Amino acid sequence: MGDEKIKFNENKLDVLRELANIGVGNAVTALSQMLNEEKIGMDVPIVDLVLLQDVPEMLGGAEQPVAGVYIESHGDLSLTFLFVLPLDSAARLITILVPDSIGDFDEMGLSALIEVGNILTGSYLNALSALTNLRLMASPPEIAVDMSGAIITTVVAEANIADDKVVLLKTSLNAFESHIEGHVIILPGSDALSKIFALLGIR
Amino acid sequence: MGLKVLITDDTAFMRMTLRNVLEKNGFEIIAEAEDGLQAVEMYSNLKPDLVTMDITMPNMDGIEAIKRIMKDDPEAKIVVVSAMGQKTLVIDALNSGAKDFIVKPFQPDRIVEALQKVGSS
Repeated sequence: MGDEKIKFNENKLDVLRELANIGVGNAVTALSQMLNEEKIGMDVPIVDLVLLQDVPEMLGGAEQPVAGVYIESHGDLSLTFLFVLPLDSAARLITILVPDSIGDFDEMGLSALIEVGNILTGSYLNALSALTNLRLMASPPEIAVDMSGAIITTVVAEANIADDKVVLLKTSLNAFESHIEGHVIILPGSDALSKIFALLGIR
Repeated sequence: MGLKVLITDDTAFMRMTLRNVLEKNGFEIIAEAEDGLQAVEMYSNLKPDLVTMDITMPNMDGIEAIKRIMKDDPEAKIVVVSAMGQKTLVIDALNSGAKDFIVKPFQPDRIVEALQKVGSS
């Protein structure tokens, strides 16, 4: 695991924040188009070295029921994306996107959430690719409706994350008119960060 | 009579969205494929006028499916509709034989125009 050896100084964290800003900014534009809504707020991305066990707290608590869409990117960089919504936001998103839906988590409802996760991740990867010239492909998404703690555990296992401290990029999105909030969490895979810093010439 | 379209996307929601947009604009959806493998089989059985093709799909991705369809039918008219809009990917798709590349989320006008243009070429 190459990234343990990276010394994270403020400079590096700032670079990651900027990348996160640009990537998620692009994703927010895509989301506003899908929702036909002009104003989608985006918090300043949190970029930090965190203990994995603390991540569910950042999502409202380990027992908070959420819908989580999980995507892995491969190609030149490996990144894990998790798009997490509290259940009421997820239901509202479904009613907006699926004609005649009452917000059920049925096949079409879940499919709509999956597609939103797919498009958000794609927007992020497209922006990152344009900046770095890297080829970044995404896996087909997976979705789970469960307590956030359970989802994080599953994602960590599937993404083969062995460290208990990870670099986490987290941005909260807020669609004000539709009352939908969500979080985009990005966990860089092994060597992803060293590659990015090397590309951008940052020591 | 509307042009016959084969829709390919692994997400039921996107297949439904595309169907709604295209049917409203005079196209006939003759089949829906959930991955590249199904798309290749359905193309060969049904010979649609047009194909919409996602890229990120299980079993066989869109680029591979485009190559196989073009191999069997060099006249095939395939338009990519994907969330992945990176330059290298767009070039790959076009080099493999796709006639256009639409990045999601798309405006309905964009996809209708693209299919009309490709369909009449």
